[in-house]
Amino acid sequence: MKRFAIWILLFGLSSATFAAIDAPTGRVVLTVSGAIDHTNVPERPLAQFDLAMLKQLPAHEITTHNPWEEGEHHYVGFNPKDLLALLKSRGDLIRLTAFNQYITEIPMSDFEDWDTIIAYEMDGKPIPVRNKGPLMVIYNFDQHPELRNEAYYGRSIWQIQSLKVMEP
Amino acid sequence: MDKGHVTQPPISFFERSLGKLLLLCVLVSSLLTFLLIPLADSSARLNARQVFDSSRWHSLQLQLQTYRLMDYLSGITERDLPLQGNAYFQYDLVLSRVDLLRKGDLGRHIRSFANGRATRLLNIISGELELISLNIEHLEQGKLDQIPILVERLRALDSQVTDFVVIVNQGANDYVTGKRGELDSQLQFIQIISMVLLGLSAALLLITFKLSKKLERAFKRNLRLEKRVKDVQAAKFEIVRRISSELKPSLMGTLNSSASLLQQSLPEDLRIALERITSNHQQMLTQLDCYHDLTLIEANQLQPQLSQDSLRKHLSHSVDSLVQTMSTYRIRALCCVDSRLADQVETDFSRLHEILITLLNHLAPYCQGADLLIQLRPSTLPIMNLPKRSRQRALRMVQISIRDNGEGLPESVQDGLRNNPHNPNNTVMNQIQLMGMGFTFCHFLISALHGELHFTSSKGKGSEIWIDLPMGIEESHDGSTEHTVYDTHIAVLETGGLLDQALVNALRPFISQVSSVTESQLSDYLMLSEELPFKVLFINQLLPLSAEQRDRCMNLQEQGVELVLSQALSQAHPELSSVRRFQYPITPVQLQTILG
Repeated sequence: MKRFAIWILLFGLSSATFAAIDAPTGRVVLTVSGAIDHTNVPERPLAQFDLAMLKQLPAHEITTHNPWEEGEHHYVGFNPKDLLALLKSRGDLIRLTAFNQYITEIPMSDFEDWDTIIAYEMDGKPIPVRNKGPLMVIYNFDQHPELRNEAYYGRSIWQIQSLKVMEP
Repeated sequence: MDKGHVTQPPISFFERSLGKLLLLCVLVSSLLTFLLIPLADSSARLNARQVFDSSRWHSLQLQLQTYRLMDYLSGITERDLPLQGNAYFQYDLVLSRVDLLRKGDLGRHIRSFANGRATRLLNIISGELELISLNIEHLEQGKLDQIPILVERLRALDSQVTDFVVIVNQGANDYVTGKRGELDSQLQFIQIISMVLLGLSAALLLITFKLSKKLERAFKRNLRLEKRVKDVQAAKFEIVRRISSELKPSLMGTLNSSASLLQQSLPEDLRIALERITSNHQQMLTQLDCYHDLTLIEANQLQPQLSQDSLRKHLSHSVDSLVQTMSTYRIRALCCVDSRLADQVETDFSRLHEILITLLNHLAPYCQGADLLIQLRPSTLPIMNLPKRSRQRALRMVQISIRDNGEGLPESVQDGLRNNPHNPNNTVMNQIQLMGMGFTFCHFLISALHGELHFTSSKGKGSEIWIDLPMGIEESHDGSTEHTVYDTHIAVLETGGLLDQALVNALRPFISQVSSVTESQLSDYLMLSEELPFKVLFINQLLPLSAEQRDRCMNLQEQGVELVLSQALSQAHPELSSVRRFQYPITPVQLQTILG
């Protein structure tokens, strides 16, 4: 009886330590890999998200101009630090890959210092692939004019398909 | 040629215009520096590589995405069906790149390449891609026969995409070359401005050097002039000192001789003449001290000679020496000291004496036949500049109020007294021209002793002058001064002048009972044969008594009342025998003496 109780306790602990997050039910829009503790793909160190799952993260808003669009636009999205907290990640640098295999690396400090987001809505609508969706990194260029340079333009990646948390 | 006159070398035009040149250089430098700001801003914009670099990158990405779409389509087999929107996804990736090249800064930039040919090509590519959307839709529905059609159409588009990439590349190169040319010309312009600025800096350096030399010369000249002024002042001071020291022995000798003669019994007219001589000589001595002090004040070298002594004694001594003046101008003067004021004070008594004598001597002509009241009391004014003290005593402001009901001060004296003696424009000479030597000396000496002088004057009604001077006073003073108090009742005959109440107040410290009495009250007492409530009658009057007054006085004397009369009055009425006499100005010491 005592041995059975120990087994029950160990099972409970292992479930807590390797707790998997829910699996996506819709189309996968973002795959996260790298230094993360929580995953949702069986036997693979990956976490996949559909749009609904990403929308459950705390939403942040930015209204700004950028060099790729005419006029000012309103963006809604999530802050990757919330995503990394969900995945129990300890990384401070993320590598983002676009559908065209364009890759950029962004330090997590950008998301803390400049309130940068990964947007999934533009002007109240989901962002289609044709218009650089479904996910794109948005810096607030209007509020922080010092970001208007090649370094931050280069980090403003769109048509994001995957995110890798780099080992610290 | 006059050897004493030093001729200055002629000043050149350059030296005369140094100040204007300096201003001009600074102005031009500022303008040029201001011009650099938009140039630097413009250069920064021209140097922004984002737009032309992006055009190359995105046009190549368009080509790459087209090949990827072809690759994807070529690889589709039966097993991939249904495609579930993947074909649309790949198609959208290509179109998203086309949209990017047509919109925003990038689109505007590309429009200028090869006279718009790049844009025309992009429109053709976009149109072709829009046309194959129908085939993509059929493919999504599982019609694999669409694949060769799509691949063929994309291959047909390949040459146009390649042309587009080449044009964009060339356009970007031309754009960069053009911008670099603009940058070069702007850099040249900046270089020219920098050269001009360098020249201006050199000119500024030269002008500053010349000006510093000029300033140095000015400083040296100023120092020489200051020294010369000091020498002149020292010489003036020395001359006055010598005159004073040479005159003083003779004056002192005359004074001593007069004093010795006055001790002897002399005929009255001789005694009066001697007193006048003594008084005049004393005033001359004071005047000599005044001139001496004025030269010290002008040279900023006046040092107060502080000592501690009885304020009442010194005040009485100073005022007593004005007997002759008061008599000449028929002034009824009274001097009194507030009982709250400590008797022992630390101050420069000789300067206080000079101030009082000079001021009263110069006020006297405007108080002919009038009353003059001199009061010493604590002042409410704060001490602004703390003077140096010889002993550790609390400094308090003491006020000397001089009030009269004469004709008032002339306008020129009022104007002079209103001028601030600390203002360098109000020189001693200017002030002397305005209000004469005496008032000027008093005004400057009060200021040099860290005091203040204020006044009010009304034509025909008199004036009042307040002199506030800092004096060292014992903190422990309880406000009372010890006197011998005489147990008698004295009445002061009211005359309707300025001094009635002041005289009553002045007598109170020495007499146990003091009151005032009017002429009519006196008549009533005598008519009703009542017992008189006083034993001494003080008549503060200069003019001879009327017959009625004289009779009344004689009646009073018969009833045992002692009369106190002014010397002039007693001389005018020898019939009033055995009276006590006083002379103007009345002082506390005199009051104590005649009542004792």
